[in-house]
Amino acid sequence: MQIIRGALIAAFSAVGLIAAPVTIRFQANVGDRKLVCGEYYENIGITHSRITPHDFRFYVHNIRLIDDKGAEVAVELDQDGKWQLDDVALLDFENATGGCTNGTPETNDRVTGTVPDAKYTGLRFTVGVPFNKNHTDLTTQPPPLNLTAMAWVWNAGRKFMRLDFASTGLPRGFAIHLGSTGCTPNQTKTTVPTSCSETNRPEIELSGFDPSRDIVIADLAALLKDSNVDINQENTPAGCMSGPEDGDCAPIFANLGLPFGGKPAGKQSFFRRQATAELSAETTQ
Amino acid sequence: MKPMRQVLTLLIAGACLLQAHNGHSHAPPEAKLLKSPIANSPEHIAAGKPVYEKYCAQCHGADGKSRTTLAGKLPERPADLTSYFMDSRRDGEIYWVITHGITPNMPPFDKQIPETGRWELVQYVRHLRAKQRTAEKARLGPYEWNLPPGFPFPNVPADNPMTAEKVELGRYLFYDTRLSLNQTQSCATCHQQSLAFTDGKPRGVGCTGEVHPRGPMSLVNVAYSPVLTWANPNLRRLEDQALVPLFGDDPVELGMSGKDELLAERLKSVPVYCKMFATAFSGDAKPFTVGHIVKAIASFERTILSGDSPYDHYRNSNDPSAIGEAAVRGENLFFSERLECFHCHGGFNFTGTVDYLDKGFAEVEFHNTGLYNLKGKFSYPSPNLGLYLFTHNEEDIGKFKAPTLRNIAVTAPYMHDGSVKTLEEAVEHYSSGGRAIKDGPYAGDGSANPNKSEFVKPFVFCSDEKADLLAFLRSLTDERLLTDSRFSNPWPAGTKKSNP
Repeated sequence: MQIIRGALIAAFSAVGLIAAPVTIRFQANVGDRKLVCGEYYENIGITHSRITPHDFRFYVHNIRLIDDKGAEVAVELDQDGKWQLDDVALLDFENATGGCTNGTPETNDRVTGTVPDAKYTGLRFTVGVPFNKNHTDLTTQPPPLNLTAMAWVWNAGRKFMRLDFASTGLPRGFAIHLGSTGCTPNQTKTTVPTSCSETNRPEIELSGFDPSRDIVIADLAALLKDSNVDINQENTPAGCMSGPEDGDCAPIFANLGLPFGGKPAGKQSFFRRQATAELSAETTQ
Repeated sequence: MKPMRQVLTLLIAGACLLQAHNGHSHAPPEAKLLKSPIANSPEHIAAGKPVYEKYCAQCHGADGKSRTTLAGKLPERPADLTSYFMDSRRDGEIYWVITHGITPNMPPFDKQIPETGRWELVQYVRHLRAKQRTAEKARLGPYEWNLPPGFPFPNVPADNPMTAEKVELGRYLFYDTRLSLNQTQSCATCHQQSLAFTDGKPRGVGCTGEVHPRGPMSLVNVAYSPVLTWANPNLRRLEDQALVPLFGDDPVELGMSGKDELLAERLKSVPVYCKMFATAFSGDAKPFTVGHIVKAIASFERTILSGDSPYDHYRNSNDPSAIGEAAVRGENLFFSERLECFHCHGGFNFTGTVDYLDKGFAEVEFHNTGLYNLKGKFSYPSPNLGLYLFTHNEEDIGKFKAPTLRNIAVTAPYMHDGSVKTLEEAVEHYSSGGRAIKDGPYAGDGSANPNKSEFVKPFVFCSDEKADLLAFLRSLTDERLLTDSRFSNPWPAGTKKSNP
């Protein structure tokens, strides 16, 4: 790793750029409030439901910053042996307390890495695990790809995002498990899927994003604003497990900017940029 | 060729093809009882070699694999004498074929080769198979498989070779309720030995009471299954499948999602496991891992082999009366083009979805058998849409895997959702070419389902044919398997962890 880092610095120096550490900070919110296991949140979705979180984690990869000339620069992730592996990182906002019983005490709200030292004015990333890592054997993979709670064993892959909560109408739980579906092997001897018809990896772009000033807010209230989380479509999993037949997914996928049921991809509204100054203003209010 | 001879050739070829459906010997049943006048010995094998090379090798090849130019030109390809099915042939049957030949493929050799020479030839043919078997076994490692006669070696993942230690550990884990979050269920809850590793319920029930959309499948001979569960084309290895009941969220079965550390802690506290994990995974610094747990369970599952039914005795041993006359008539019906059963339930494991060592192509089949025909987009009740759930192709709605028919009499109720209660009803379902449901939410004529398999077509049972077919199906029950101590609960009776 040291050698790679050294080589990177050398390469950047050659073109007049020095590799600099960068941190992309994330925060899970429900509206203006931070998501905390054990708390509840009101006025969610079209039925103004009250929800209590059970789990919230998601993978990101392909993280890029946009420099002031509009050029994309890939963030070279630190290999910490836990949250980050190659170009994939896991963000984890549950701490195994409150109702978050299937979780881990450890949490992670940031992605760290290096980029050429420059001014950045935008962020792009992809939610999920890339195809070449998604369908690997859970039991032989290093962290963060070895978590059983994030494994989607039935689909021989991973849950890209896991958002579980209890609502007023569904006290046993409404679960949003985002992942690729329609995955099949193309020949009988293949042991893993070779293609998926619905890849379901949201592409996120936050313009104006300056990592030294801004953080990424994942807002559950925004994600669920068009959903009725108090009922579940009959004969489908409770919530939305990415099934193309599950109408409960339609408003959620729309807010993730994903195509669903013949409707083309739109603009995502789940993630937004927020300046840390605004955040500290909030907390002091 | 004169027209008459052409017809005759076709008739004979047709008869051979019929025989090929069931993979049976060309020899009549009484041939099994022929006894060799000479003892087995290396000298006799050696004496058989030049005879083989003179009379047999031209078609069957010096190695017995029948990959010769001449073999390809014969009306019916000569048998591979080194193949696994040769283990189910009696000496007398091989002797009979050498003596009488197979019309029109193979001439009789009773004139050219004297009787003793023919028996020596039998020993040499056996030797060719034994050599092949030894070579196959060497590739699979030292594990003693105890395969039923006529069963090939299964394919085993290269990263999980079989060992007696893993198998035994897997058996303990299979019956251990520590594997469920609330410690109420084990694998054996839904896979009970006395019911050929099914549970007798229409659909499985998980440890939190959640009802599974489908019923647990029998684990018998699952080592030969290239895809697992009812219709998941992605689940290829038992090691991967075991993760589904352990960690799946929809439905919750054992409910251990995110609880793998807890599971490891629980198992570490059991004295018997300390030794077993260390021996089964010696050289591994961290024995208590999810990977090791599923490897051990998969190893145990691969040993659950069933090939000791009355029908197997009838076919593979010297006991032509092991099954009754009705079952013999039923067998012929089963393998007939009129009933078509064998198309999807053929081979040594009575299923079309099968794989084994050196098969070359793992066969994977999913069929719609006309159980439902609902109006609207989906002709099957959600969420049981079958293969469609993975391919999103409407032609795959209602397609499921044909399960093995071994022990079928003890695995009621039937079909993926347990909606067919008895074996009689199952047979009637097929004779009517699909199921008609008159009213209620599932009303519809299943026989008209657009995705229905071409092999599921109505047929009429004459006289006692239904009873005969049922007698045959019941002859596939392997009573020894249902009580065999190698597959039973290893935990001492009365211990909390034993199950069920």
